[in-house]
Order: sequence, then structure tokens, then C-alpha cells
Amino acid sequence: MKDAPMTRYYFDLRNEEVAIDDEGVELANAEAAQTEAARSLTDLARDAVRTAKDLKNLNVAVEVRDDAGPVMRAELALQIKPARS
Amino acid sequence: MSRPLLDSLLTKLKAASDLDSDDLRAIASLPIRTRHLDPHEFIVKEGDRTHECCLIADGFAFRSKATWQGQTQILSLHVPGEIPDLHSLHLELMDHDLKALSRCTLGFIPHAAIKSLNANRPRVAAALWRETLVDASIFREWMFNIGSRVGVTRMAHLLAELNRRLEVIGMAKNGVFDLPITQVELGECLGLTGVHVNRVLKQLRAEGLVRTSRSVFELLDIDLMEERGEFDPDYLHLPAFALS
Repeated sequence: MKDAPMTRYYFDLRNEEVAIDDEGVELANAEAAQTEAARSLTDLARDAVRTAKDLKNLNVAVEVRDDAGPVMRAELALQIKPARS
Repeated sequence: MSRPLLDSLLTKLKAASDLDSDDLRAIASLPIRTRHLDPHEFIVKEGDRTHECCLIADGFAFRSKATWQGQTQILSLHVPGEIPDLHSLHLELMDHDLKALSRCTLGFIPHAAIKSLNANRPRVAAALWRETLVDASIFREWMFNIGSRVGVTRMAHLLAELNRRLEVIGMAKNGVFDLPITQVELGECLGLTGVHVNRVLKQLRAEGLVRTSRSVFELLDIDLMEERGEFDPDYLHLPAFALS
């Protein structure tokens, strides 16, 4: 079986700051990129919750690009809704 | 040919434990079988029953497990002079995988030979027991690191630890060491995705703490890197000469 061509995907991370990925990772297809984006996002969110100055406005996102441009954006926003006033 | 192979072990045990010249001679005359492995070759597999222990004479090895879904966790990294499966002396059934990380030169020593050495030389038995206790101590620290620290601290801690462990055996100098490990493998050590590893390394680079090129890591300020990683070397139980 011949190896399927790999695509280089770049994962820019956005929370309080932006971390642009200039190295990227080679993955088989957009589905693999989606999985990597979702997993990275939960990693990022875990760290963000521990270090955030303001938990109420916590929003983390991963933007995936390939050499042709944006591919997808994955986002997690934390909502805290007080149940009593 | 067996002497150079055992040198790394002798140096390590001599530095850490109280052994006399007869003890050292007895270790040096252990029967040993040499094998060269390529990166990612199995040394022993989960489920194997082993009758030998493996001494790393050159290169790096790692222990790992994988979930039923195929997600790998690297449990520990091993450097020359270590016997990553010393536990197999008494626990013959491997409950995890042991693999080469880089090209490795390994020395396989029969369990029977080590058992008889231990029975005849209590100081050697104590020295080897100490090695397995330090191994367990490093496991505790890794559990703590993965379970309780944020990604960037985790990475700083791992780099600080490797620098110290390699420094003792002369493989790190002034914070510079060679470790052929991929970002994905670093992630498997730290419970982070490859992308997150990329981010935390970039952050440590931006903070001026590390430079990396290919497999060379250069800690630009060892004290600051150790502080960044909340690193306290006590758990490594290093020999006195290495504590400065």
C-alpha cells in the first residue's frame, strides 16, 4: 500500500494571548486535524482554567490552517451561571 | 567486550552507594550479552516473561502503555547506566512495554547471575535496591507533574530533570544535552498533544529559557528553568558530587 499524501496543518492557539504555529504538523486529512484541534483545545482549556485571571470570560480557541488558508476553528467558552442571586 | 558495557552501571553505583573493590569486581564480571537496537524497537513487550535484565550502555529507552483505543502514555525515560527492567528480577511478567527511544546499545544480564550476586554481596543488593527506589521516586514525581502542573511548568520540569540526570553521567554540560525525542513523544511523556507541546516549547523559548535545534536542547539559564518547572532535585537522590 502506498502512503497517502500528508498535509501540513498549522494550529494557532488563542486564549488571553495568541500563539501562532509556524511549524505545523503533518496529518493525513482534515478529520485528523479536527481530532488534533479538539484534543489541543482541551489541553489549552485545562491550563487556561488554572491560570485565568477571570474565569467568567474564559474563551479558548484553536484555528487550523493549511498552506492554502484557514481550515477550521474549534472553540470552547466557559459559562458560569449563578443559580442564586 | 563486556567491560565498557558495564562501565556506565559501575560509575553510577559507585557514585551512589557504598561498594568495595570486591563488589565492583563482582559486578564487572557479570555475564552480559550485547544487543544494538534501532529507535522504537521493543526491548521487552507487555505480557513477556523475561529472564534477563537490560542495562542501557548507550542511547535512550522508554517505558510505555497504550489504552485500548491506542493512545500511548510514556511512563518513564531512561538514560545510560540505568536498568529500566530491574524489577523483572522479581516480577518476571512484564506489565508494560520497554522500547528503545534512540539507537541503543544494551547489555542483557541473566536474572540468575544478578540473583546470585545479590545473595553473595549484600552491599550490591542494597545498591540495586536503591536504584529501583529512585526509579519509583521519579515515577511519583512524574505522576505529580502530569496530574497537577500546567503544560509549560510540566515541560520545564521535564527538561530540568533530564538535564540533571544527564549531567551526573557526563551527558549534559552547562545545560546542553542531546535527546533524540519527537514533539509527539514529549507529549506522550507529559500527557499533552503534539500541538500543545509545540506551544509550551515556544513559550519557554520566548522566555529565553531554552534553545532547541534538532535533538539538541540548550537550557540557557538552568536556575531559571528549574524555577519555572518548580523543580526540586531531592526526588532524584543524586550522589553528593552532583549537588552544587
